[in-house]
Amino acid sequence: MDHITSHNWIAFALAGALVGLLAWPGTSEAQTVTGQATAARATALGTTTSVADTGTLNDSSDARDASQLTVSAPSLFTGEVLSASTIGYPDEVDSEASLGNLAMTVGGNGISADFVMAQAQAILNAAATGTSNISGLSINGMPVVLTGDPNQTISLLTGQVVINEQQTDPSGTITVNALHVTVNGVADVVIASAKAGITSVSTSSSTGSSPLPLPSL
Amino acid sequence: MRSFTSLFAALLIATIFVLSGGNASAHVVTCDFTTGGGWILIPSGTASGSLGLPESGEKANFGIVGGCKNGGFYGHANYVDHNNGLHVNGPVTGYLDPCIGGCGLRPGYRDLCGPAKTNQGFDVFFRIRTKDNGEPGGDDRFGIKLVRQSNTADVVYLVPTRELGPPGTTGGGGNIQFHFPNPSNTGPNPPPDEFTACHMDDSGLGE
Repeated sequence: MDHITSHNWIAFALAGALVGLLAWPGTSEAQTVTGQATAARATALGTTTSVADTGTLNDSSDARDASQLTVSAPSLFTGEVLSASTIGYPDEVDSEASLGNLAMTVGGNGISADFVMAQAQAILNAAATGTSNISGLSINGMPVVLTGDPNQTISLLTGQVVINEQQTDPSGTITVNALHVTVNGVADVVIASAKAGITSVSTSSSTGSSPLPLPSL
Repeated sequence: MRSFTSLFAALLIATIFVLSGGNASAHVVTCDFTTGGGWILIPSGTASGSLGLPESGEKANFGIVGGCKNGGFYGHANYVDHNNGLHVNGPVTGYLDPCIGGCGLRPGYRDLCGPAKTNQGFDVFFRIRTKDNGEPGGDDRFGIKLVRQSNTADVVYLVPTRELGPPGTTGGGGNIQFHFPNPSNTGPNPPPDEFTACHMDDSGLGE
């Protein structure tokens, strides 16, 4: 009899512990990822056109790519070997866009480059980072010395060129535009754009009730 | 920082390879990602192939993505040789570790393979060899081999693997980026052998 009583007490204690665990406020972490890469995007006359655009990452296990052998937007720009990719991870997002042989004419400004690449990386619980890799950049026939700093700006008569443009929004998502050309009232052109962001959202939950049957004592 | 999941997947792939009796001359499907863009310079005499396309030290541009995704291969390859006007573009339908100097994440060579259109009047299979040697990319390596689809013994174009190099008269530029696997990074099961994946061997591609 004593033995049976002891056994019942153990079962009762286990059942109590189970109820306690089920009622305990649970926490879980979900990651929200942001990733996109676009080899070229131009807005002119109110219309925006993107070329080799991955679209946005669906989730942290997604990977997307886009490409085009050549692009020719008459009287705006030409380029080749356009490539874009964005890769999601549970704790990271990597995005990258590039093209070669850029030749652009915007509002009478001639801009060319041998190669243009933007890369963005976001790692969970760390500041997102970005880089641009540009070779042979020339604006209106003048070679441009790259500082390597974010947001190097060169003024045009009616606009500007931002080199290695980096913008971080309040959520920590970074957008890197290797070249961003704006000619007021004429066009807005981004060459090689990569975006990456990842945030962790803690969610707490409490069942408050036990959906499981208790063991019989 | 990388995810433990990614590291675990990479280690699992390496372990499976070792347990399956892999050796340094093997070519194994390995699931991660390679991305990149840039250009190489092709001096005269440093490329070959039955097309006999002229090379004169001008650049060839490329843009690539390769890897595995949801039980298949994934990516693209675009290539333009300005010495002769050759255009090549197609999807990546094979992704291998050529196991040069060992297999796995290091040394990290990857071959991207697939069918491609050209502007030469016929279609090809391509095999592009890449290696990410760190940032900013000047030490990364790139090579390309094309065979005729209608006769895969006919190597129509071959540029042995070379350093991207710093921009200048002796080098190109750009960046090749190796990425660890993510949860979607699964390849075909069973994985194809080298010839099925690439329709050619890697002779002449070098390292």
